[in-house]
Amino acid sequence: MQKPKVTLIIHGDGSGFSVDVEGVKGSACQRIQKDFEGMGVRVDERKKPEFFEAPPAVQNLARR
Amino acid sequence: MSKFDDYETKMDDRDCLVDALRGIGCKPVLANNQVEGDHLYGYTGDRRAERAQVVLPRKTLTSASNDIGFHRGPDGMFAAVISEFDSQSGFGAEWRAKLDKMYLEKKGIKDLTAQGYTNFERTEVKNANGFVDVHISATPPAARVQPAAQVGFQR
Repeated sequence: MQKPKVTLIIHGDGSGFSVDVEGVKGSACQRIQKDFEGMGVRVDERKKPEFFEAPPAVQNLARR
Repeated sequence: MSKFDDYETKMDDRDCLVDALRGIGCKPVLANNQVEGDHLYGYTGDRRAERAQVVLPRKTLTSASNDIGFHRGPDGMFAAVISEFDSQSGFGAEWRAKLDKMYLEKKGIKDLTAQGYTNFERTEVKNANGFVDVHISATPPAARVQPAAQVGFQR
């Protein structure tokens, strides 16, 4: 299993920052994102937080 | 007499602002009056109407500089108070961007440390636009990465 790691990327032009979250899934991802709320200007998320996905069979049922 | 202009910032943490100014080689001084701020002075020693809570004294800048100040606004954010002369003499947009970048670095490490993050690693990566991004990696505290169902659960 990948070790949880968070990377704060401060943009070279000083315009803001973004956050990479690795090895963390689900609601924990959202909790981590909240840790950066007090920092000021956030430009974008480089990687979307990874959420648990329903198994393909369940997704197929949902599409019907 | 060069007039002072206000430049908005997204900085609200005075200690991080002071650290960031030191980080880019400046010598900031805290105003005696932290509520209204101390008056800024022009290069001839003339007292100006503008006030600031954090000051870069003109003597620590260049021989022709006026004071540079950081004044906290009603929203809690600091505005940089820089004379027209200084903003065209090395303390313009590029200098402010450098300060913003250093501030985010200081603020990021301070906030994450306070929240229990550990194992900080700092690297610099040149981006596609030619700027150097700063990457700060850290390990989140165990409570952050634990699945919600396990938090506080006791059989």
